Amino acid sequence: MLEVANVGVRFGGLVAVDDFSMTVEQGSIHALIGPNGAGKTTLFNSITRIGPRTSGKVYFKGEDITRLPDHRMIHAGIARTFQNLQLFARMTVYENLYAGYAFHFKRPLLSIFAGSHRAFEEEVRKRIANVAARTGIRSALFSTPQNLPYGMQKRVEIARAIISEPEMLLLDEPAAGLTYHETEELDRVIYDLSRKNGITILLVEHDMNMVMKISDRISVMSFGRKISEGSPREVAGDPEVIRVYLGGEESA
Amino acid sequence: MNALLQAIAIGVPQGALYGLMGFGIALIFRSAGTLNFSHGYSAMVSVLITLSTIQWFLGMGWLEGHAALFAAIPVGLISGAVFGVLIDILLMRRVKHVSPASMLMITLGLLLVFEGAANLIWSPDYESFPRILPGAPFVFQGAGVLGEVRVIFRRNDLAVMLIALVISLSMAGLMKYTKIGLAIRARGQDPIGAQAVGINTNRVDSIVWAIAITLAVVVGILVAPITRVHPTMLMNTQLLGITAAVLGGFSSLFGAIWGGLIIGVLERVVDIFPALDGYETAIIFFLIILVLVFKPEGIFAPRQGRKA
Ligand SMILES: Nc1ncnc2c1ncn2[C@@H]1O[C@H](COP(=O)(O)OP(=O)(O)O)[C@@H](O)[C@H]1O
Ligand SMILES: [Mg+2]
Repeated sequence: MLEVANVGVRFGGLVAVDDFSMTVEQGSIHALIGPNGAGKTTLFNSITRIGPRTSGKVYFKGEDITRLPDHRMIHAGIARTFQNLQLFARMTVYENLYAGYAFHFKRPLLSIFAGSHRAFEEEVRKRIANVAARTGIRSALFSTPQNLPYGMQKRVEIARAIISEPEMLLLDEPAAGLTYHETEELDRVIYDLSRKNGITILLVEHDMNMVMKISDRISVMSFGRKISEGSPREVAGDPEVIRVYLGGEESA
Repeated sequence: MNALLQAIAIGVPQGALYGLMGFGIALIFRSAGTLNFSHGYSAMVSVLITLSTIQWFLGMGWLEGHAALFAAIPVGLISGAVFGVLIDILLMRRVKHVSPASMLMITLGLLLVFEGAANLIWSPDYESFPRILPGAPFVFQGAGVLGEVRVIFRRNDLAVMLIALVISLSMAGLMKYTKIGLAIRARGQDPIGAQAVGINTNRVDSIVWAIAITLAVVVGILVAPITRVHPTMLMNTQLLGITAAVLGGFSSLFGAIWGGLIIGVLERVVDIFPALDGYETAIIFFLIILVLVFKPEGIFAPRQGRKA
């Protein structure tokens, strides 16, 4: 589904991502783990063209998307969320989701949504109700994001990413900052997106419980390099991984 | 009392123009990320283009009187939109990822470029510019509960008010109900989120620049009969437009319109008191300082704790 081929990202002298390759299989939940500063977010940004890339190529469904402009990603079928939320702060959750869908269509920029586009409006309303139910944010639709608990904001961002029915979803630390209970709810949401809606998921996450529980495959990154890859069981047993990453947390 | 009514009658149309200017400045500030110090100067060049077009139509004998003005206005407006798009594509797009300060420096540089171009290509002279609605002013006179009243309302100000109203309403509609309006708001609130939902933020920026400069040209064409046409004709309007935007809080676009109206009226009210003559600008800027210190989010922003 998604093939990252020898991608490298440099910031001046710092090599943030070093000749990184990985393949995400269609329909799978693929986790990318690694210590803080390993280069996971940088790799995400480079795949979605929000950040720079110094070398390498990215293929989506066999097609080279290395030069696709950032705003075309969602049109190609790749949606994402961000480690630090990127929601529209002065819009309600409803409007945020609306914006998540409205630009998915080639309609004239001046097109008026109300009135003559009543059918469109009705369709969007249904979709918003649908994703809101799937992500558990129905009660929050008419609040602005800032007035919501952090866990809810995270799910709003997921809802905004999936409303256009992407084939692939990149999640950057969706559970970071969440309570234990919120994380459990999120597990469920992500698992369902994959199994019920068939969305291929690439997930960066620090919460090992979550990663071990829902991932089909895991790639481990350290200092920009891939140091291990395999099923959760294989990776958890890899001595190199235990050394650089799991070391302290395995006992938890 | 009569003096106050008279101050309002002159101040409101003038303030509407500051408001439109401020609206465009706030639009660029919020959605394209810089304070545009060349705002009124690019519009001034468009007014010169409009004036030259009028003179050309008249000179060729193709059109006469007012027909020449109305035929030339679209040329002026389009030139404003073109300036906006060119400024964005040729300059801002290259530096907006570098730093906000470099964008600001470019707008200051542009101010000098536009002023220089006006001096070189046209001239530093003051030229007169036709009114949209020429004719004798309206005089409202009579005795009422307020005593003897005699208020003069300039005929052209009727056009000013109507145009300002129509533009404000259509901008409100554009921002609220159209896809481009949604894109502009999204881009202003979170550029990365905007890209993620499929908005071409570069294109949004060009559109924002085009709309904002075109609005400034409208303002320029409406004030030109009063200020006359010369390279610094919009200096004052731009300054008070920025002030209106500050007063309205850069976070609310339409706050700038209200801010403009307040400034326009205040300017005239201060005029009533002979002792304050000459201090209009000082008083208005004192007001701005008060607003910045005590309510930096603008006087019309909803009371709401802002989170980090
Ligand atoms: N824009 C940038 N400029 C310079 N260095 C950066 C930039 N973004 C990230 N880095 C550096 O790249 C490395 C990887 O960061 P990041 O991708 O955020 O790691 P992770 O998401 O795995 O925690 C870090 O050393 C970070 O400081
Ligand atoms: Mg990160």
